[in-house]
Amino acid sequence: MKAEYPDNPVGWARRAVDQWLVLAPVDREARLVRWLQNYDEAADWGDEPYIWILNSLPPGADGADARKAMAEVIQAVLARRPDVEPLGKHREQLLYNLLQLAAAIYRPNRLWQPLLELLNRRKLAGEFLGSDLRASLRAALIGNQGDGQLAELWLRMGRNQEDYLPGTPVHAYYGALMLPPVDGGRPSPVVKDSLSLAAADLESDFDRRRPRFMELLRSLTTAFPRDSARWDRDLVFMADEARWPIWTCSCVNMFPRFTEPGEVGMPAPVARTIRSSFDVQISQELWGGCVARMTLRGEALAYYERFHDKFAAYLASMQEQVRYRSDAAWEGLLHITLERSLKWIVPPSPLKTLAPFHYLTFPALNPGFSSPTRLPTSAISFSGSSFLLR
Amino acid sequence: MFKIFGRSYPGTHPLEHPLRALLERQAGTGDEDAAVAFNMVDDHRVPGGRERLLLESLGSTDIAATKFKDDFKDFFKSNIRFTQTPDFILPVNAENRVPIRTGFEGDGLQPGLSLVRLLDLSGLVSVYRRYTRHKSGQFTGLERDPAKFPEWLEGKCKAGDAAKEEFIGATLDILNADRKALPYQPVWAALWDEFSPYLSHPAGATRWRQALGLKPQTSPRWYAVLKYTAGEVGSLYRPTQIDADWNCYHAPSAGSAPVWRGGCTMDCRGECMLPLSEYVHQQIDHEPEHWTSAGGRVGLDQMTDTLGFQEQRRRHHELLVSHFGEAARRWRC
Repeated sequence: MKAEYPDNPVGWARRAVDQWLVLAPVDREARLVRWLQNYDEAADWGDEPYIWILNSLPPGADGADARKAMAEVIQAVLARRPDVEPLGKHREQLLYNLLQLAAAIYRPNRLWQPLLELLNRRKLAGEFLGSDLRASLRAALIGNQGDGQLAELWLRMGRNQEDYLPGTPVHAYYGALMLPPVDGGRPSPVVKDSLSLAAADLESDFDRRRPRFMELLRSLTTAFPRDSARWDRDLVFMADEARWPIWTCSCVNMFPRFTEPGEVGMPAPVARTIRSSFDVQISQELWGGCVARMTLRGEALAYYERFHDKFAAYLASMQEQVRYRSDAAWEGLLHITLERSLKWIVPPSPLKTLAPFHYLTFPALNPGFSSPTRLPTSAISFSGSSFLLR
Repeated sequence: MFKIFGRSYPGTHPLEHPLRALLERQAGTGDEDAAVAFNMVDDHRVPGGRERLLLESLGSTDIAATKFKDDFKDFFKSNIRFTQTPDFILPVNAENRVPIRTGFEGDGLQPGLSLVRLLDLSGLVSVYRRYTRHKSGQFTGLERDPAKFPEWLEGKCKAGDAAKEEFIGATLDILNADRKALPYQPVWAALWDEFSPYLSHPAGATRWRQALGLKPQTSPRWYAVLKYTAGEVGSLYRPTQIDADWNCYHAPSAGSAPVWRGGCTMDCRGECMLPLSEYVHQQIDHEPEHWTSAGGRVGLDQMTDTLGFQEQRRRHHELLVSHFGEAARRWRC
């Protein structure tokens, strides 16, 4: 224990946790059970006790030691089956705080089995301050998965078919994301399917689905740090394998670079422009034909690079404007860039040859915006501003 | 304008004089002190608060070039190496803290992500000698003839699988106890996923050490491989030059790399196609499973680096430029 603590709420809390750490195991359990019901030092701070405890944990290795001790006590409390044999005066508050604390403490070797038993008993019920206790169990399970047993449950939840644990397809995605990594470093294969289900769930929210799905992708790419070029490739392959909805094209880098020199990917209309103008064949079609893989050299590669840079610049500008973050706006930018890129080709490619290609092969991403089956090619306007404003 | 830690300053910065002296005398010669000086000029990851802690220790006026290196090393020992609360865990280093996910929504490393570290068994002679009476009986007799330590360690590392497992288990046990009384920070870790291809390299432990960018020592050393998860370490940080001591084998990572990518190891062979992510954390308790889950590996590093430091650093710089773009070119070597 430290000799001195700051004379403020943080210092008092830190001292209380340090004093707790030196207690005998049985006393630790009794004290934690009281804390989790808002008694003693944890009382009346305005937040729920689990937040007070988390904020009291020291950083670094001391924090790791404290979390380990917390996990041991949580394991002991869960072993008393608090879902069937009520514990404490404030049962719901105790269970809520216990599970929320478990959710924030990654210790699957201690917590995974007791949490799984709690799930399998299916006795947990009730709510605390309007929050379903089973939602807290979901969070605790997400954060402490010791093996892949819940993969099926996350897929079921993603399809809105889970009948006990509450949650949306987005919750199910986070559950899949926290499945133990494959070989210690790769996301579970279930992640790509759960992303597909989450995308389907977000689909009807035309204006916000793109930024929301991008948030999910960001949580994936930050969870598994790797070279961004590798992530660009992997996301396209994941989308291809799990058949993500077409509008999610706007959420990934559609210009991935593969491992061989000059081997690149691009949206299908760009590929078709390159094929017709530079006589380069498409080597592979991915994601239902939305992404084409080609090996480019010379002028074709120069066109590709210029297109990519221009589109990236437009996209960066678009991201700064809140009202232009939808996938419809993204699609509009692709049109504008395509239209303007035609003059880079010598001799310039006529617009009329591009339009049918685009609308036959790369249907409008937003079903509420336009439809290739209903919209005659002759009616298509390539005025950039009109795309952005719609 | 002269920069320190990637920042420009009005007037003369207290470190400008000693750094200029190191750079003007030795830049371009492959000199190791000049490389560290370049790192200090360019290491944008050192926050202002940590710079202030450094200056409080070194003094803010008239820092002599000759004393600078020694004072910096003393600062490292007092504020990082031998303390239970190294500067990198303080709030002043918050911008280098790597978030780790929990059961709630948000960003951060997957806590089940595996990390790897090399445990330098040859460097543990003083620890082993402190625990000659350990209950395992593994270290008995070491106090009598310290000169025989290399031979003793070789015997342990070349023993059969069961005996080796007992030895490593006892070693981890004494380290877990020792860290509470005599801290030795920081622990350097890389991502298992990125490092594991090197485990099967024919050069064995020599290649392990080279891939992680550890400076070669003058004599062969035994390493054990430990694998554990990000969720076990408490807090994980992107390293800075201050956490690396006066070590020229460290190099700043590119400014465009997000914090969760950590730092970039400098391959001592100059052959890596991608830099490995590296992190620092405080010493933690290790369990025997951390060694067995890494394949129960112990290997002898022959310290045979042939590339040369200057070429190694040049290649590393080129790798960063190709990987992170031209923005990385301003980092000098």
